[in-house]
Amino acid sequence: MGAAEIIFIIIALFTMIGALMTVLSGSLIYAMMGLISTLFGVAGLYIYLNAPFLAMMQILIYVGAVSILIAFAIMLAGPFTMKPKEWTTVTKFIGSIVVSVVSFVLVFRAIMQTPWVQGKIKNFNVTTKDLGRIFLDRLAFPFEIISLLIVIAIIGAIMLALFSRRQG
Amino acid sequence: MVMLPELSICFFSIFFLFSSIGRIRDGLILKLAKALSLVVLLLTVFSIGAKGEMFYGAIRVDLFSQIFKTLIALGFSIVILMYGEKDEVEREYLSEYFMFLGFSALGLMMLVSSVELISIVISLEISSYSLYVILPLRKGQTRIQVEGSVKYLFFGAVSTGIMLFGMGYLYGLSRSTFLVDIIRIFPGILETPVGLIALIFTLTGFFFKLSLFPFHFWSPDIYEGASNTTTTFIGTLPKLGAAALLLRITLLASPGNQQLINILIVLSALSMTFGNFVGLVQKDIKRLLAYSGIAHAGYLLLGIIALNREGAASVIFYITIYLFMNLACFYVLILLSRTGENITLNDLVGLSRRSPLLALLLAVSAFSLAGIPPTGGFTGKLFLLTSAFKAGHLNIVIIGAVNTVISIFYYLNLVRMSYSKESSVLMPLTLSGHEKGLCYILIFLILFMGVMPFGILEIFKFSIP
Repeated sequence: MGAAEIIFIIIALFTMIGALMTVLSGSLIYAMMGLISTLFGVAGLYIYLNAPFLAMMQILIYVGAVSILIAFAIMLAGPFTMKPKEWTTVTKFIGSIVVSVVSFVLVFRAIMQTPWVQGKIKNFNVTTKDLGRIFLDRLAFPFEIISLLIVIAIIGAIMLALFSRRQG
Repeated sequence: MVMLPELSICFFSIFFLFSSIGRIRDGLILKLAKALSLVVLLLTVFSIGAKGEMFYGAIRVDLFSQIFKTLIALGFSIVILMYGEKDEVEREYLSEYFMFLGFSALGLMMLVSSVELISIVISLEISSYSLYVILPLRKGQTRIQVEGSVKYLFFGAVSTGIMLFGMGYLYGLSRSTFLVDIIRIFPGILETPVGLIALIFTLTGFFFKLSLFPFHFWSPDIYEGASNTTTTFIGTLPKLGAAALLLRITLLASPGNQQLINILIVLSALSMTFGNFVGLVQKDIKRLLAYSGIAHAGYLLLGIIALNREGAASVIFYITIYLFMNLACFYVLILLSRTGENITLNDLVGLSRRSPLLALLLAVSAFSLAGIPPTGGFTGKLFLLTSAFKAGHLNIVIIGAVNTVISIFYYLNLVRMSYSKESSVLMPLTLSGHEKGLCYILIFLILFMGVMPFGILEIFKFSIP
């Protein structure tokens, strides 16, 4: 086992522990911290996959912006120090574990049974320039309509915020 | 002008974006919305013959997509024409309401002509986000409405996640997000376990929109919680988009794939049986229609199971008649509810005396939902069952036929209630001219598709890519 594999395992463990913390933690702040560590781990995976631009964007957007937004939302939402009384029950907990283990085993076995062909490209190296180009030719349409999606989300969020203020 | 329908409906939404900032009288907004939606419908029908590819093949405009776009525009304008003066949503938010309805229809229109995975996801999300936003706008906020909205949001997010997971594998196997490239390797990868998982997970997003059995949890609560017009929209239009994409993707698979067929058969049987049995005990008519929608999603899969052109054509036929009969049923509810409240079975009592036309409309749509000739629902079901039978899936045909018989009970219960004369207090229900016109149009459409189905079916068969 070389150094690369050890680094990969560390990154993967970091990501998974963060994800478990997000799901299992009863307190919102801890869940958010878990989410941030997951997002960092995913950024690490991107670097491992030779996609430094994506990793940078991941850290900038998700760790930098989205989690700050979540933090604000949690703080504005009120008393976050208290643990919710009934964040899970035993049956729900067991059920979720069973579902996740079963689906993991199914997908894992399917992946293992599939003959994967080796890619032809030896040095996989996508530069930012390539990404920019593909966004403006092959994937121009999704790139354009993402902006429409964001507009809808923003208008909707503002409208609902005003709406609930008036209702309250 | 290949994208005329999309552009026109985009203009519709942008118009109401500006009108929400400016000051237009509420009555005028409603009239403008009705007029503009008719313009959208006209322009869409006008561009039904358009053909072409745009954006490096990410958008394909062909007869298949144009037929679905016409149906979406038709449903959209009928939904807006149905919106009465009942104050179902908060008055100040009327412009935004129409804007988001327009955006949702725009997302669906882009969805049916997308042939590229990322465009498909984003168009689907545009359509869903707009619906998440307008759900809580019902007047008089209650717990059930908030619960419904949150449920829809969470289930939508989870199903999108699963769909993206499956699409990730499709991309990994074919190294392309374009369906043209995926189709080349498709028969080969479908034999591998990962290929099957990828396909089923990808379809999950559309199963969710169709409210097929294991992905149906949102639908009864949403139908109950959302306002009547919003429910009409959610119960009809997104299913058109989902059916179109289900056809586009499953037609990639070769007809002989037994594993895929088995999975679809199980989903279809469970969905039909579950929907019909739970539907039997419902009192709220909107909840009843939600369970009927789950059952109809099961029927719809019958045509997909055949995995051939004939089955696909019968799916388009059935989703078309499904659109009309649901619009008809919901229109009765919208006109019956005086302040936008939900209608229960008991509210139907004496409907035939209060308004014979509404009772007739309800009877026609209920007969069609149950699948009784001479309505379109009967011919649609007949086409679906024969296509599944010809493809050699006798077991699912029997289950489907038995389910039809079960469902007759609760559909005819609607008719029985509306024609019974027990009620003593009878407030006659007067309909305005355009409401009457809309009723006649819906009755005509349902009966026309029942009596003269073959020409339409030929067009649909011709349009299959």
